[in-house]
Amino acid sequence: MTEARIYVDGALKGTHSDPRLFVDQFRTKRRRGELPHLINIAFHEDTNEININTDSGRARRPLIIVEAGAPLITDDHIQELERGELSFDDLVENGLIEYIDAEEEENIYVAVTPEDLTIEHTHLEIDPSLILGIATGLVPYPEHNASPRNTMGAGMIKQSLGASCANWKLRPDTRSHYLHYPQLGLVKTNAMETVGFDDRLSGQNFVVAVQSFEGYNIEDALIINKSSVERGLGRSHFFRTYEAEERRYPGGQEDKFEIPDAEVRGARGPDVYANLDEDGFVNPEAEVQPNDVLVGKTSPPRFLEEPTELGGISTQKRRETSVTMRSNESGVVDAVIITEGENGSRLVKVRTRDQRIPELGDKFASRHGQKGVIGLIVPQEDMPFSEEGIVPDLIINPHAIPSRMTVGHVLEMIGGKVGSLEGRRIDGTAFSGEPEVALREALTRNGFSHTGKEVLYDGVTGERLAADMFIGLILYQKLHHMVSEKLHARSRGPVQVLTHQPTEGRAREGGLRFGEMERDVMIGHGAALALKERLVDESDKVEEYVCTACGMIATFDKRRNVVYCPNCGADTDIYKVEMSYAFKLLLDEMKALGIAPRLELEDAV
Amino acid sequence: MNLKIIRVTEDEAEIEFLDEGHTFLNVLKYSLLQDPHVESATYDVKHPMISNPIFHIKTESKDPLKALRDASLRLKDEFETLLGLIRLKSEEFS
Amino acid sequence: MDLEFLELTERQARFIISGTAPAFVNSIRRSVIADVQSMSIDDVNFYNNTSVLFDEMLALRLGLIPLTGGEHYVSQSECSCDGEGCFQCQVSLTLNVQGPATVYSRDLTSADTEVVPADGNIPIIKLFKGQELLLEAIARKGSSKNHAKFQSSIATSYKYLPKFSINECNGCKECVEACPKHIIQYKNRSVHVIDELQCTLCNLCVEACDARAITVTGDPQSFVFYTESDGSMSCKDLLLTSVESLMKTASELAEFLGTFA
Repeated sequence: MTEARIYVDGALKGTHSDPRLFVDQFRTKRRRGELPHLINIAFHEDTNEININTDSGRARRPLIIVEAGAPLITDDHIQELERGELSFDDLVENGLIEYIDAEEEENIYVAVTPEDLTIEHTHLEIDPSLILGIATGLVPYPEHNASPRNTMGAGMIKQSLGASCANWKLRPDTRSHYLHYPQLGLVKTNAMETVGFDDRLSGQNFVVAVQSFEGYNIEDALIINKSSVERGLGRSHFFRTYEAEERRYPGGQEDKFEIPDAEVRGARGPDVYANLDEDGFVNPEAEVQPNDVLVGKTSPPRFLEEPTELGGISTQKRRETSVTMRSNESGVVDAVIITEGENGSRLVKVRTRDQRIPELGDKFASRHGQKGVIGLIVPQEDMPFSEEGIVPDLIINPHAIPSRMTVGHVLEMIGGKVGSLEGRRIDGTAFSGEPEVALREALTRNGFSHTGKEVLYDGVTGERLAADMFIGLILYQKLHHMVSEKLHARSRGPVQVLTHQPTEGRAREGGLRFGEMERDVMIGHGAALALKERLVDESDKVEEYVCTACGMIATFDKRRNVVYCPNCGADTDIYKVEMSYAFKLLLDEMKALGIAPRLELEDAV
Repeated sequence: MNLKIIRVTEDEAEIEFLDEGHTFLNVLKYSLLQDPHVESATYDVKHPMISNPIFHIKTESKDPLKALRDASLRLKDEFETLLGLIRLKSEEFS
Repeated sequence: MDLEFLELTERQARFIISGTAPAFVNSIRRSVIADVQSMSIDDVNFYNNTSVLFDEMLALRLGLIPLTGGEHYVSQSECSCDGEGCFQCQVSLTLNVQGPATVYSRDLTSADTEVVPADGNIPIIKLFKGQELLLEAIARKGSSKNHAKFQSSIATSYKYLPKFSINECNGCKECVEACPKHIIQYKNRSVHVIDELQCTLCNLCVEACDARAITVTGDPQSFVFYTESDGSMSCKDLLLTSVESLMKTASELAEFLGTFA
């Protein structure tokens, strides 16, 4: 047969007549330690190639080596591991466990549990739950969910608020959040312990009922209990750090932290600086509103001298460059840190905090990709109640379950209920979690129906609800998409200097883009003037004088009160034309390229 | 008692309550429905955050406002009876 | 209408009320939760807070402490001082603790000995060495409609009175296994329910029985009512105040309409 080609990191290095023997001997040497453990080798039969990969950045996972249908790791090894006489790295060194990358995985046959082992298997999973990564490992009972939901759940765990660090009082992070009363999830996974998630909690255990309620939880909206919120459920703080530095400029001038006096250009009057102390900094625990000054700072003028209108030269005054609170945020000053910058100049960091109590529009999610936004906040007495007086913290819509197939969510609710009744945490690790049958038996032991449903009575009418409702406990997380950070409105506002079009972004008080597809909609309806209104009248409409003689844009001379064309000198037959400033900008840009864009005018219809 | 009478005819009445909620209105409805002359009694809240409950009564050969007054008096009596029962039975119990 | 107490202490009450309708009992339940007024800390002036929690967080914790003595005060909206604040509608409590120590609710000193925390063992915050908490808290009267901290009751609820009928039991004992409350026993060739009041009306026994020998119904005219007090008032006062409030509303409406009809 033809020689198999051998590639090392993509470069052809040689050939071999018996590729399988080569690969076997290579692997044996690697397991004995004669070749580095970082190398992976794979033989592709269809293309007759051997690929050897040594580069960094490959994702690899550890598997137990199996020979002749039996794993190389024995019970003795496990006991030595538990006693601390052996470490995981020793097992790799001794060739009992090896790391396999994506390409070598093509050549192996992995058994999931020791019971599945046959002669043909080459490797054994250390634990089936290790097929999942860090974030997905935090999702309980993932094997009961449809896989896209696990992906979404993992993604949202990354967006949840919690207690992310112990030294938050000392850290000036630009933006950070802190949940007031984080809780350990009643249902946990093994990955949580390994990763240390239990020391950096996020989320709280909510009592959740699955019920359609008054129509306010349609389309994934959530109904939350007002009394629970008032007792602190889902409450968090948001921190933002502002920074200011006394910069030094070439020529000896520098910024200064001070309360700007009336002399300074751009000073806004003494009451704006009322919160500032003598040193120009706002005091801690002062309440600040949007656009309040946090650090009073003045800077030297941009140019030392500038021509004035009358034709002389005057010396310029200092400018006001104070640091202000963002225009859509308010809060309380949490800390003022005065320190030294890189060049030895004074640096100040002001951290503000804002309490965020759950309100309509805040986003919450469970760990199973079941996200939702608060649709209504309902007082405790309106909520359905059980005979023990238990009232749900959250009501989710049953329509969210069947099409998404997130059975893990339902199981976690039962598990959480059992955990709270028995005062322990339930194991929800993938493939080795507490089985459903055991959970249901535990419910019966503790006096609740094995179905997880309970008899509930309507809070408004007092009558027993015709059907029993499913109610349980589950860890819900508050995600950092809060409505107060998103709500944005603009009627008229700032425009960009270059295009005269509305600015972009909420922080700059921008407008929402009427994009290409929206333009297509207007065209489709034949609403021509509505389109014109959006694109011209409400955006960058401008009227420019156009000279009919040369077709270029003409000017209006204010002093002599006459219109004339600077190109051809004509001062008659110059008409005002309505156009968008962006169009005028296009004409300017073409002129800059040496093209003369001449406009031909017609009579208006 | 903060309420607005929106409409009254000889057999219908529409009343907006400004300071009451389900706690009182639900049991008021129950009491009204005990009256054989009351054809229908119901109340509706358009949106819990922005509107007040509006009560609607329809009667047969009885003034709707009188039916409402009778219903409130019946309720007052029942609550008064209950008060007496609580006082009496709690004494007996201890 | 009839009433029979099963349990009545300062903190807990359970009774059977019969001869009435769900709407009626529900009104009482809602009134106990939301209409009963009690004192709670509403405003806090912090003079020195070097603890690890923010002012806002501490203020919530202080507000949630149940306070006694509400019967001597009126709510601010009803007060003759028109919301200015006077001795009839508000009380001042102070707290002055230096660390290292755990601050408990009993460390609050009230200007009125009647208005004190119902329970002195509620931990407020842990102070470490060098930390200090010095504040003045103003307590006012309100109901759960204003804020949940004013709620005086815990776990207020009721259920329909369970009624069983058993005939022609074939002794399969499936229902004994199925009952989560474990209140069905097999004796003398038939099953019996011991402690009918424990039944939650879950109907699992009815589903388990092949012979359809057992039926459970909730009587919609008799109810087992349960409530607990958080200590700010006795359970009996809780019930009396709530029913009085309902009676007053009914009476006011009748009086108002009396001017018309």
